[in-house]
Amino acid sequence: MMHRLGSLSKKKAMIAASFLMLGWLFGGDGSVDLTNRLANPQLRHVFGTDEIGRDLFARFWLGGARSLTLGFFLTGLHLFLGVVLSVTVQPSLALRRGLLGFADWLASIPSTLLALLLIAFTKPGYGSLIFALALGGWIPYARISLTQLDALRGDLSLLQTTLQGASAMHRFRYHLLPRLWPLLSAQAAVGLGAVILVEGGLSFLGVGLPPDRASWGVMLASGRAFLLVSPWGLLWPALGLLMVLLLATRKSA
Amino acid sequence: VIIRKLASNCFRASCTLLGVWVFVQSLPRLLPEDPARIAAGEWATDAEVQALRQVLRLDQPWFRALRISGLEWLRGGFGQSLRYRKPVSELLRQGFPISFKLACFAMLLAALLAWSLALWRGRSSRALQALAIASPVYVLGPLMLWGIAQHIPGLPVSGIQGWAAWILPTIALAVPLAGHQARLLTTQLESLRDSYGLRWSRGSGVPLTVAWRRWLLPAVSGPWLTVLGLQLGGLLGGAVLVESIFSIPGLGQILVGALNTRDLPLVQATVFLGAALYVFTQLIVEYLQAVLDPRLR
Repeated sequence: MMHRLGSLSKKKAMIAASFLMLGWLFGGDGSVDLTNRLANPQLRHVFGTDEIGRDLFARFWLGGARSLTLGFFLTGLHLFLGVVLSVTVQPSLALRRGLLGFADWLASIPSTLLALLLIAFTKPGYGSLIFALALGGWIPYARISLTQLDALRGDLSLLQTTLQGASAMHRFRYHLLPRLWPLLSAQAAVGLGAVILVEGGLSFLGVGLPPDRASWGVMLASGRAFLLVSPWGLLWPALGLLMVLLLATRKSA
Repeated sequence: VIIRKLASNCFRASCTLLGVWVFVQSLPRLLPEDPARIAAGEWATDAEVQALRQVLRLDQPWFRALRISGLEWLRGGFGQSLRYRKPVSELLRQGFPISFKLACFAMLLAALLAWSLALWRGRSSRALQALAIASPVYVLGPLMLWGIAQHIPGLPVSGIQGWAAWILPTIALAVPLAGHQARLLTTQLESLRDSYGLRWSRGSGVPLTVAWRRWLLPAVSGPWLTVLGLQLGGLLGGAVLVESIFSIPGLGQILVGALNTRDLPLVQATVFLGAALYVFTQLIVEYLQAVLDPRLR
């Protein structure tokens, strides 16, 4: 059986969607309450509070929703860039060589370093984070779809659709994309985990999302600083990240 | 033949590195904002920004600045760090051995863990692999600080004094790597175990040790080396996190410090060093694979 999402199975998509909804509904950056710092879990603050008294429950949900939204958005962007680039480049040999050479060269800078480098030269914020993570992320998608497109080059059914007068757009939508999709979606399932991982790391270092915005990386960083007083600020985001990455990186399923 | 292939690979690698170098050097010019203003800070006067532009050679035309810093790099000087007021090469020489040592320890532990996970064919082995893959360095490190370091009084949690200080950072760095390696090894070994050739040779009385040495090990080591090379090359990215968690004064810590103070020459040199290490490990891996696998010669 093959359904439309391929490797991003329906069950996982449902979990992610409900998580996002919960996150954006119940989450919040939390308000500062200095009389109630580093509290343990209690009725009013189910997960406890952080070092300046913000509710960890709200921050946990919003942080998770942010990480996931960013992850989905960036994975979609990578997928889009990869497919569009490979389709435009495929007919011409010189362009293909150029793109593959560029990809090889870009891939020789490890992705975390590339992101750090770009962020060092720009103002911090969503824009530079997305740009830094999008710069190298399209490479695997472009490689996969290029090989697939090459394999389909001599395909007679494709030739037939062209002879019958199908437009390039129609050909792409109904004949090429369905054949590219299984491999691309498998890569996307891996890529989603990787994006969330890198984004969390950058936020942990304090160069990803702005520190006043709740995100799991930021929460981990501040939780680590107050570890000996109260472990809750560390434990909840750690648990959340583990769960999400476990779901995202699990083989097939 | 193998020499010729090596030579062509070396040539390609040096071309890549040259490209990376040009990219790293001209990046400040490619971005829309003025890097000198960002580096100087929010409250810098125009004169200060102008002085910084001169130091960073942003006031000169692109190609001329590239040529001057290229000659400087060839002579072994990577410029002056803005923050420490020291040559960048000196700082890197201090940090590199520490990061290198950490990387070696982590790779050894990862290989050990990966092989033991792959050879132990239980259900929980799979689960442990998945867990190891899903636990990022920056989650594992703080969790170990909380769960382990707190309960063992003598265990150091920061710095590099004594051998015990290396334990936690090595584990934090090694576990995710081990997960990826173990998953690869498991799938490879499983597909080989069921292969016709192996069953035939076992059936005709070849002892298991011989089969391992002659067939299984060479067949598995190729893909394993590829993954090992990729991980080793990308290890500086992980080192950035581990070193900032356990405050180890290695390359990663230097890079983070340089990023936070917008110390552009130091950032450029460190990132270039990271890319060079990556390309260099790829080269070695390609060579080793050509030695191991006659088909690639």
